[in-house]
Amino acid sequence: MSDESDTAGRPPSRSWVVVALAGVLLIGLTTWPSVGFLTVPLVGGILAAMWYLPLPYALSTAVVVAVVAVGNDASSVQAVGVTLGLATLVGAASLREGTFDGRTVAGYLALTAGVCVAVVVALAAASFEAVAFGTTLGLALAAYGLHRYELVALDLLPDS
Amino acid sequence: MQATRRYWEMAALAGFLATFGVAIDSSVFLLGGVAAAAWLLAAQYRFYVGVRDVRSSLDVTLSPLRTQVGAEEPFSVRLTASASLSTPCSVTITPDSPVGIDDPDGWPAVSLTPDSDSATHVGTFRAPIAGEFSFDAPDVRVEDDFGLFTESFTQGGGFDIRVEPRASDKLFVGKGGMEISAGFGEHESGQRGPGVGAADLREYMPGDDISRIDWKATARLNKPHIREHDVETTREVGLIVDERSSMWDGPAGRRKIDFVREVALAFANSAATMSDPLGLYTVSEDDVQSVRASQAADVQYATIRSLFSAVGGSAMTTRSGGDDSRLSVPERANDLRTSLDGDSSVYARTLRPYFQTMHPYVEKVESSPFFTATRRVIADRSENLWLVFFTDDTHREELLESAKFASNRGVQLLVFVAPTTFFESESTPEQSYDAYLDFESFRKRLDRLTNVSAMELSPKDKRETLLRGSQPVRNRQGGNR
Repeated sequence: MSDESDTAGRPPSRSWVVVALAGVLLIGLTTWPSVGFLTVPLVGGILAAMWYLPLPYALSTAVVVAVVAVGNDASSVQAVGVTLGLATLVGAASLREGTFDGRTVAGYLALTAGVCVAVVVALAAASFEAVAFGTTLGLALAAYGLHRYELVALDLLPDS
Repeated sequence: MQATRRYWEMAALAGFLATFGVAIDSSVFLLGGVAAAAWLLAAQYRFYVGVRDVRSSLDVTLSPLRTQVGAEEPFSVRLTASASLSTPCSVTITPDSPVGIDDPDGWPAVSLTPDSDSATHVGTFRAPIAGEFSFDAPDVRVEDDFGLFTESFTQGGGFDIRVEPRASDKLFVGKGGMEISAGFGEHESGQRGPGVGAADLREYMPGDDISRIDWKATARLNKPHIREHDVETTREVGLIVDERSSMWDGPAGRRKIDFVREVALAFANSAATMSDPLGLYTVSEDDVQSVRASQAADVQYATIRSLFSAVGGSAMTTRSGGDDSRLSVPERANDLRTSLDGDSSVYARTLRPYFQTMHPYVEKVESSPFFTATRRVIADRSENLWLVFFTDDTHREELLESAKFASNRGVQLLVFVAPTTFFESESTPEQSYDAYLDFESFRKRLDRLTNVSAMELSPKDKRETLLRGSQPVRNRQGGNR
């Protein structure tokens, strides 16, 4: 039986395992057509990186490993699948460390999925450089907007 | 929220992944950058939620154990903080002590975490100078567990503390070697009439107000009697404080202005206790500043006390330096001009034009800020004005003329003069003693004016040292005569 205050602030201790398994499965399924049985050591390496490296350095390392495995000409579905799988593993690691709660992890995965899909759709109609620029600009504006919203909502603006 | 260096490192990493993806035309790299940036965005949102929780649930109380303390007396302040933190972050709370308050022990930051959500700390502060000080609300700093963001704000309330001047054992106030313990006190009108304190009984006279009949005394004495009371008057107190550069002579905490403030604050407190109207005029180099109308209101006393505390808290360290401002006294300037007349040296030729353009004495004194302040106070005065000067002996002619001006208009004047010689470090004992004699003769000259009482205001230890050390000098001077 878990303590109630603990469950209110942090997820149940084994929930991260379920999320991590979902990530492993997603990466395995999307990379299997390209690398076959090499998927097993690939996923193992990514898990090791997630375990030992701080986030999101682990994510960056895992991306490099994934690109090496699936090659540069991965399909859009593969690219989105691998990225979502890696993001799910990052979410699982955040849950394990207790730095994100379940709701934040869900929000993070939804945001990643949404932007990934938007990028893939945009790539069909625009150049790679334009999509990359637009995505970077959009995310930077979102971060700045959240910063400004915090100042106003929490009344932290300095008196002028 | 403020992003830390670690945040920018991670943002750069996400940007690098995206840029590298563009360079090699790899969508996996680009989407990897998207995932990293989205993670930063999620962490930012999580931090926002944490700060929101802290803002809504943090309860900070900063309170002194006493609200009135003496100068140089340690006083304790209690900081109590509690919050319910649902997100992993650390909260540190630090009180912000005002300028002029020392923190001898060094106040440690009080920390709250999700595991330890309340804390109390009692720290000690000390005020070396008297005045009124305001502690602002404590500073709160929130930092997330990743070390990506910080946020700082103030929360809770502060408090005011009044630091009373000590009955200083380092301050000499007196005249001609006679020290006084208090230069002011209860003032009696010497008149009888309606009031509070019963004084005497007298028989009823036609024309007296019937309501003033003392019926018990009337029944006892079989004739209508009226009880007289001491009439209580208010005496308007006008303080003129010299803030010019010469008042800042001396080491920090032992400047002329520090001694002046102690006595002036005592006057302000006394006036507040007696409900006397109080006005403060401060004299700077060019003009009369911070002029306050004389009103017997609590807010008036508080304003004047805070003005005094601002005087000592100022970081003003500049002064007229080595220039001998006594040269501005026309008599001395005239002497110097005469001595230069027969001199054909380069020094004399350079200085002569300055003396030739000297303004007439009267014009010069009347345009001086101290004289202007005196004239202004007297012009605004009530019937019963008590004027008090706080200054030094640098601008002697100006002070003398101001005192004469007040004296000629029947104003009761009390002058506190700080002798410059006690605040100079470079003069020899012989020079200091001669300068003190010169000061004393000037003080006596002031004191001889009608309605004027001139007091010396000096550091007790230096005064005693000078007078004790001057014994051989006096003997030698006596022997020469």
